Amino acid sequence: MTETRFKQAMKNQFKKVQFTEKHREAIRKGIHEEFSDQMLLSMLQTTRTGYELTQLLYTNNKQTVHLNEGMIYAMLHRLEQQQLVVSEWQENEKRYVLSNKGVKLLTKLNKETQKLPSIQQLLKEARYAND
Amino acid sequence: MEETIQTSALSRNQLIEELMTDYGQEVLQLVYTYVHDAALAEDLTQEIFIKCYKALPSYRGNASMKTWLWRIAINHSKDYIKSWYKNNVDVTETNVLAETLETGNLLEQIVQNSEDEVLFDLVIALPVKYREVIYFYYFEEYSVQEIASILSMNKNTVKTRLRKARTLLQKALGGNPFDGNTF
Repeated sequence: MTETRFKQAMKNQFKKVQFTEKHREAIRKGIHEEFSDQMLLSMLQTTRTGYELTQLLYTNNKQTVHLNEGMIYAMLHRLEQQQLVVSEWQENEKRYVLSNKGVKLLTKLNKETQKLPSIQQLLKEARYAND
Repeated sequence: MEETIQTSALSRNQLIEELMTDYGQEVLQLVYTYVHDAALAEDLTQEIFIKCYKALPSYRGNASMKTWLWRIAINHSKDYIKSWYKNNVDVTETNVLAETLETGNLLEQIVQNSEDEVLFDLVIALPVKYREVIYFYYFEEYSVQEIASILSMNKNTVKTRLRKARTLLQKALGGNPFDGNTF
């Protein structure tokens, strides 16, 4: 059996796994969640209610319009459980704000975001690597 | 600040789209050689690209983007295997496959019709450290130097592992599947 034969054997087996649009979609969804977390954390540097957040996200951000109010409350609940956000009741409204842990995480995320190399540079690199 | 996050998210999304187009299939194949389960390989591949999105800001351009992505994929797959073994396998059993290969009994255990599948199953049955070098050297056709860089190990270690892996396969197959090939 030759080396080419071996490569062919591998290739045939790899037909069992195909990277499709379904996978791309799942990845996009996962990325969206990551992104929305960072967005929400940055808005909670000021104390806000869930309703205020919904309004802000809806008016300011094209990328987050898919988030409905229910989803935002679910996210807030999760962030609270992760102790990134704290809440308190004021005049029959629950108000949310970053905890110390949340501030630290946001600072870290923002720092990383700013350090991001330019997109042109990265794309050039990706293309070069593919040659 | 929110604007910065948005701009950066847009660029990152664009980059991830390109990476998925260029390397999605290859990453999936690579993960498949590690875990040998199509559905699981698909899940892990999705996690790898999301991880990649998160890690993009820390990409420094020291390695090529492909090598960088490969490392994330390899580490993620290995972490999965490690935690799987920890949860499911008694430590004393971990070398059963290697021993089976060494005694040449595996062929008897694999009931497969096609020669392709037998060979692939043999490669998959190799311990991870041999499997990955075989995959990169014979399938991706990387040089020993490139493999050493991707796996962050010494060139000589790569050579030793390739030699050992070929011996194991040779024994199991009763012949050299890579005859005439040197590195």
